[in-house]
Amino acid sequence: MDKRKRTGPWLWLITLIGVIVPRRLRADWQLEWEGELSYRETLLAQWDQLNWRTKLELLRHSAGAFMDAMWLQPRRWEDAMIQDVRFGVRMLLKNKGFTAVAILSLALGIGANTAIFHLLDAVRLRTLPVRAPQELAEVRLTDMKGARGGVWREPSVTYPIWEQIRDRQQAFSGVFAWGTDTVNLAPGGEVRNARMLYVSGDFFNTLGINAALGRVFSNEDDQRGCGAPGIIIGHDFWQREFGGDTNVIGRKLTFADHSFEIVGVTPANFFGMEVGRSFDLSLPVCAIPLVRGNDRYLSGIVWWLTVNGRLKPDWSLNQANAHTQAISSDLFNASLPSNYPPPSVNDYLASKLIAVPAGTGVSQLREKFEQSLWLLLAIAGLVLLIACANLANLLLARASAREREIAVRQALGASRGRLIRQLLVESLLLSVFGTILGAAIAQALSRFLVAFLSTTADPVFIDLAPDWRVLSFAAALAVLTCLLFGLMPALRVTGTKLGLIMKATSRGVTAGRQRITLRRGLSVVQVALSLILVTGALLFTRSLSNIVTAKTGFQEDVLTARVIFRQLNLSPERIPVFKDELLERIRAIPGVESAALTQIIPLRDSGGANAWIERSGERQMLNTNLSRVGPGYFKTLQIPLQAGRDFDTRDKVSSPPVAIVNQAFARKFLSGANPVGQRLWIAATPGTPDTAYEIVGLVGDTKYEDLREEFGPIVYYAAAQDADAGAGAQFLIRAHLDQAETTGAIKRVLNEINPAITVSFQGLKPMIDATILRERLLATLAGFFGALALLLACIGLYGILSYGVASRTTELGIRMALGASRRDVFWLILREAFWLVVMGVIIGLPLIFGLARLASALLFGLTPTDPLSITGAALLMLAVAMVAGYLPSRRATRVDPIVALRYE
Amino acid sequence: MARAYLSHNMALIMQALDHGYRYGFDIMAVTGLASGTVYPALRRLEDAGFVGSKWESSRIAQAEQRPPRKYYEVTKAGRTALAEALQRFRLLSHFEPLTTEKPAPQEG
Repeated sequence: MDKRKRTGPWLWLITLIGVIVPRRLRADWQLEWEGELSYRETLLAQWDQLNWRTKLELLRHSAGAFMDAMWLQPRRWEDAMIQDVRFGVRMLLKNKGFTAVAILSLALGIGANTAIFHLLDAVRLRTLPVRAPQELAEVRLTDMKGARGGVWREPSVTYPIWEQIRDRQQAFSGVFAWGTDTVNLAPGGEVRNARMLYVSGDFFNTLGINAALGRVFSNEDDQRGCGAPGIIIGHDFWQREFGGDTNVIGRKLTFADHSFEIVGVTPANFFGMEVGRSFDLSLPVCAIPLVRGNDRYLSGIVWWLTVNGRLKPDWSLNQANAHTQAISSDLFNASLPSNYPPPSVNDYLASKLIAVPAGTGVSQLREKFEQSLWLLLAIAGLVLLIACANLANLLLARASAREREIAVRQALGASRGRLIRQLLVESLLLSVFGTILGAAIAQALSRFLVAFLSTTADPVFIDLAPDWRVLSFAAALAVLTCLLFGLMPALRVTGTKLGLIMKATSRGVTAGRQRITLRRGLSVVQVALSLILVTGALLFTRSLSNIVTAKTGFQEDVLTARVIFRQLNLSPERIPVFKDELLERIRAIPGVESAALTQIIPLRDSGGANAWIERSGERQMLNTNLSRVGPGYFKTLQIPLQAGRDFDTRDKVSSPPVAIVNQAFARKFLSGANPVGQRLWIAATPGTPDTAYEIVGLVGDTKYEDLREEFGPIVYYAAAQDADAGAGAQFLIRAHLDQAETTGAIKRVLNEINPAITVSFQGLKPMIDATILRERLLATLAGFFGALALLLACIGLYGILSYGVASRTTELGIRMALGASRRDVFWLILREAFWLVVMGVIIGLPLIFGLARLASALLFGLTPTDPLSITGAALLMLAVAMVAGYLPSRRATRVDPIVALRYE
Repeated sequence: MARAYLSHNMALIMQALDHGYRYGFDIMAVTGLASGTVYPALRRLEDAGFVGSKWESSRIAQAEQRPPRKYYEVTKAGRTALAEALQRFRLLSHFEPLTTEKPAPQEG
């Protein structure tokens, strides 16, 4: 039956326009238009009106179909896409186990990467939240060789140097200096610390920071001898202490015996120039003598300020750099303090100032952890790679199960591109869900990391709001992983010859060689990568255990108490007596075994000097560490006294200076000879000339500044011989009470003496633990990633082995029918697992040796190619392979030859 | 449903449908609107749920030896929307077919 008896040009036009109608709608669309046009044509013919005018009219109407077709265009893409997505979701729901494993492993991989990248972004990449941060530069010394006196941080400058830079430089449109400190807000009793940011007058204006409330400082606020100026408080402090009260301006804050009027509040996102830290209070630099009760900070012997500048519009950083170097010589000549120690004067005058970019601020956190974080990012990247290899493997297995489905689709006319798109949409769905879950994991993980890096003494402040960099990183990961694990299986399965698959029976005798080789290759890669991660985990764990068990040379289970009694305004003669009284009262507390005064807390404070032993003729100057301790110090820390005596009441300011040295000192200065009775000279410092000490004792070695260092020489002075001791004291207390009881008792004692005395406590052990945070972080995360890698490798191996067993059922059946024992079959499968791991280890080992040097700087007490760790990792991989291979091997032995061969 | 307010053209098309002109070409004929306006409007009304569509029984089409036609009718929601639109476009209630052509035969 011919439906189109009359076929005018309008029907051809409809067919033509129909081409642009989305394929799914095309048939219906064409039929509707043809139906209408034909009917009209029939009708017109019946009415005898089919003339050229009505024909033209029909043509005009059919041309109108173009508008209709255009209107349907948006449905084209969305339609195919939705179809793909719907189908994809259906396929994923069909295999819930596979989907869960896939999404979870991707989420863990992506989450770990994003979290670590987030932290790196925050401490390394992100610029400061100030106006035009890229214009900021730091003016710093090339090295601190010439720096004598108190060095608070490195690099830094003294106040006179800052004044000279401010007055001489021409490269910057604005320069400012800043330094940090802590102040005690409590009037008495236990200390309540606030973080203080000292800033020069131009600080806020140059950075372009406006006050959220009140005003910021100007140059008028920062003049030498400014007395008690106004104070600016940080946003968090304002919220915490004043509940965000908008009437806070004009209120007073009292600390350090002075009262400061609040003049402004800084905006919420501003944390100063130091990434990872924030501040509570801010005062002009000129106020530090008042707060510290000492004007040394404005003399040239305390190094505590950082200088930043904003480049003039027509100046480049290179020009600024050349400029600061050029003015260095005059500048240091002009700022040289009159009492500077002569041996260091030349180094001081030879110092050079350079300008370096400062748009990302400064950060101790960055210096301490940046390298570790990049390493961890690399490790997390490997984990993600393993997860992708795993998924590719699982998808390949699934793809071969769907081979016939795909072949049928192709036979029915689906193009290869269309099928690849369909399969990629499925992979993309996995990675999108994985990324969403991963983002949640990343949030939790980065919070955990920040908490990990924070200690009570040094809280870490990091803005964890994700920025565009983190978001694009996560998105890029999603796309990349999808392509990594999805593309290959998709290309593979759509590329096979149709006929081969359609012809093949559902059960071949053996699986296709080629396909299984690819999957084995993926497994081997996975094993190799996992081996690297497990080795890393073992290395870092062993490194941590080395450092934790490293001998410090002293008893760590000791409490430190820092007592400040400046409010009592004692005369200089009374201070040593008062300290002795305090010590006696603390020693008298029941349960306190031993207590002593010290100025230096081991592994926290440090100080050094040049020294020499008085001998006829020669004068060989060497560097030594310094400490100043009271009687009972060695007993409290259980450092053995090996010769001579401890300090005692004989040692006074008026008596001849004495010193105790450690064994490392005797080795370095006296080639191991007994130092007791020798005369020791300490080179001059600003304020003190060359001084001779009689060595009265020899004690055991202890770690001084860093757990990772070798034992170094230490000279102990007698605390009682300190002529200008301040109105504060630091005690070490060993007690057989728990810490709360001890601190409670000490607080009561101090309160009885005078309620205005303030005290802060810290356990020595947690303080030392805080110094090995980096090792702990690396060991914890590397351990976690190593375990994850093992788990993924286990899943991957299990997957390929069970697939192998399933596809070789017929072969196994034949083998068993021909007389193979269950044992033979069991080992046949397990042997494959074994060889996969061996191949992985063979590929992984050279990689480990290649990558090892990256980690060498972060390891303590072992080489990066530590044979024990590598062997351990290889054995662990083998054990995992056996675990993963056990179930499939068991399943292979249960193959019933009759069942297996029935279908043949 | 997607659209609470009908434009004038849409209301006109609905009114024509309501008066028994159920095919695209009939609507063009009685409203004088161009095919490029009527068809997209019908698709939009269909998306909004104001208009439903059905295929003519193939028996009739076969008997006449031509492809079957698709006809449209106003749904319940469409009737509500039309009543609302007629309040706004008062002239529409005096709807008169433009031509004297007889309406298409009703479907059984």
